[in-house]
Amino acid sequence: MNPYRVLGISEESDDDDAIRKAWLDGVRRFPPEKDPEQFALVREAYEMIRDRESRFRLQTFGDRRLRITSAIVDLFPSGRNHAGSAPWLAVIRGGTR
Amino acid sequence: MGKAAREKRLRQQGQGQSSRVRLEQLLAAGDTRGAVEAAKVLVREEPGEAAEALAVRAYGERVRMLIAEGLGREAAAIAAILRERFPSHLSQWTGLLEDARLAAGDFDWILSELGTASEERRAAIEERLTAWITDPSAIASASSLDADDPLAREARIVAESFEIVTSRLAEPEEMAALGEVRRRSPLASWKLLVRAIDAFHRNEDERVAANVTAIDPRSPAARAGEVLSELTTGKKMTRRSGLAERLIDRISGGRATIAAQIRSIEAASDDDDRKRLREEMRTLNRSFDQLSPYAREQVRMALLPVLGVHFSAEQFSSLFRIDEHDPAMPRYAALLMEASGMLVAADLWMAYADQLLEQKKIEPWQAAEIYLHVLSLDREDDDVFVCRDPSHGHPIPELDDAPDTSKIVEKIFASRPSPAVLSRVAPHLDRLNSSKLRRVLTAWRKADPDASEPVVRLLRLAEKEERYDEGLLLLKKSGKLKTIDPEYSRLRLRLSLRKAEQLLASKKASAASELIAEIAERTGDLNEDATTYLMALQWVAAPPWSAADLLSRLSERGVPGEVVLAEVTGALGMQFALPTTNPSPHELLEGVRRGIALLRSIGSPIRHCGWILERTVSHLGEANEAQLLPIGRIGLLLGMTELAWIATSLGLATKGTSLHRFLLLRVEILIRIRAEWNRIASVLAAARTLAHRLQDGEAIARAEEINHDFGYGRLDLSLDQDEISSIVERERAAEVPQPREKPKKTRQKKVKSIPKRERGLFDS
Repeated sequence: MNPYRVLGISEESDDDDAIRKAWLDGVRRFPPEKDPEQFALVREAYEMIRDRESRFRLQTFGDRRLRITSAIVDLFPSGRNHAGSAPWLAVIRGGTR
Repeated sequence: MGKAAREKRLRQQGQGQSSRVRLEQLLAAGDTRGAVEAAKVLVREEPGEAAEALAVRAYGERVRMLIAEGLGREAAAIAAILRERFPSHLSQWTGLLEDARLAAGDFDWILSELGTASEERRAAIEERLTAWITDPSAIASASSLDADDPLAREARIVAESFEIVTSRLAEPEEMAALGEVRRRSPLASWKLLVRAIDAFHRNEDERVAANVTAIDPRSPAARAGEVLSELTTGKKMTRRSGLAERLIDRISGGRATIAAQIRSIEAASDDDDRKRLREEMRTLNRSFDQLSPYAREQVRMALLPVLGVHFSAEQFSSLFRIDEHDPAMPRYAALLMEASGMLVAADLWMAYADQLLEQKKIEPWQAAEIYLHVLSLDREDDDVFVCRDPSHGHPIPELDDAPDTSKIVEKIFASRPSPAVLSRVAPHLDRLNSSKLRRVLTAWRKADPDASEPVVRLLRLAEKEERYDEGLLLLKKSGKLKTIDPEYSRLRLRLSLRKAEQLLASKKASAASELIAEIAERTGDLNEDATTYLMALQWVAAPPWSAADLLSRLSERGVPGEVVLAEVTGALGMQFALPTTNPSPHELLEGVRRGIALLRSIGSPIRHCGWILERTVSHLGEANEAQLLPIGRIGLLLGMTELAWIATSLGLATKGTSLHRFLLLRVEILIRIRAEWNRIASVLAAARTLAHRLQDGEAIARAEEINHDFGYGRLDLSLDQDEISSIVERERAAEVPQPREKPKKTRQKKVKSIPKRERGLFDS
């Protein structure tokens, strides 16, 4: 997980207040009763970078969750790219292949 | 395998076995391809009606399988061969042969009917088409369908909107025409799919789910619906085809490819195949360009343990496309050593922080964070470091030859003496020996004079080492400390009481009296038990009354005071001729219970009342749970194993609410008498199971402590009531055992003389 992306702020951001504001915005957008998973994600992201010490630790020692290397994939952008019609039709025609 | 080889193999396999049987076996096994080949052999070797019928079946099953696999054209080709070679056997296969044509996208023959079909026939045709439309544009462009036919119009709308939503965000008006597609149309599921894809690209996952759920599972569009479900909910497809994987990969920005690359890197690392590792890393590097600086750095750190052990610093920097002299390299080296479980990691981190601090490339608070990280590195066994975050509650064992904790802590204090940082140091202090701990705590106190934690810890240390003067001096110095920590008050009281006892023991009655008076003034520290105990101390310092008077006064305070008095006078080496009393069994038992409770509550170590406990033996049968437990516990403490044994046996017989505590006490006795390992483990398991059921945190903690200290392994928490009852009954009925002999030592220690029993308070 990239906490900066989750909170929608620049990776250069070093302003505790701005980060807190982004977190509160996230909490408002994803209330726990409506979207508990996203709420938890936003909270986790905030905890990762909430103050200069947290940010320094993350930058110096790395994200411990990534010790499971398969979690690295989550750092790569997960877009909702338009793939064009061909790969969709391939799946639809594809049967059980 | 080639066709000729396959036939040859079939012939060989068929030797001694009828080709017919072989063909049937292949069909039963689902090997339709093999069955078709076998059918050809059969027809050639045994021409005739029966062989042809079986061959037709083999071809038919092959067609069915190809359709299911989405290979419509191949299915249609086989169907054409079937039609050509066995025209007289096709009556029961007509439907399947038509399906093969539809699967191949050949709709003209069925669509041509629509122009003249009755409403009923049209509905039947459209119903049949539902399962075969894999591309609406094939319907839209079918020459046999009138351009004005509703189905043709619907197909054009769906095909156009499908093209749009898979290529870009659609404008609202571009989606409006979809409303014209009838609910009973064979394209209704396609309409839902188009809307679901549109919702997906708008991040409207609820709308995706609503549309996907409504898709007819017979429609080929449902296959794309499964992909959308996985993309939005993370729920994996039941059968994820390679085509679906490629689609997901393209939509999600290559994540599946990257996951595969990372798996390959790990595999190459496991195989110690450096060449492959280098190639895989180069491939992954191409994906690095899509990463942000933060993500790129995190990926580097995460891959360090996988790559670092195989390459030199130079090769490593080349793989990561960074300069060999990049300032991050020492950090990577420390991280690698840490991940590899090398003790040198701590030294590398310390050197890294010191150097950067000296070069003023980091600020002191940043250095403190690195030092704190070093503290959190914990050695699990002789060679392995593991990082344990103390905030997660992991225990930190004492490490004799770990990096010098006290020096690291001192560096932290020097770099950043803020309360927030210092409190993070606290969980690591337990690994220090007393002198280092005292030095560190003193430094902490100096750095943060308002913090109560170092003071409390220093007071606890003073109590443990019986350095009461030092503790009282510290209390005086920290007089203005504002703390609500109840442990601070308790320590102040305990240290004062111990000091008063010490003064009395050294015959400094006057100084003791002064201190006792001072303690008595601190009413905030005093509870009922402390006040009562203070009365006993006062009496010893300057007995204004006879011992009988004191006992009477203690009794008025609800404390039959013999045990207390025995402890006070015993500790001070005093002998008093006390009046003979004739307490009833209940008075005796209750007096002992209350006395023990009082002494425990003021933290007074019980050492001298054993002879009173002995007197309870003949009355233990009348004791209740609350009396038996402390008597048994103190009996064990004072080495009176037999008494402790009897008390626990009686306690187990009561089967009351303290059953688990009696079991725990029995465990401790069994350990003392060196009982069989299995027996101890079973009683401990029963005690722990009951403690968990009753949620008795103190008993659970004690059971864990015993297990940790003596290593009974993973305790079975699944004991049922019968098993527990059986253990309880066995222990209750067990006779007082004789201690097992200790193994003989080569050099025997000089046997100490057994101290004389003290004079009883009840003796006149």
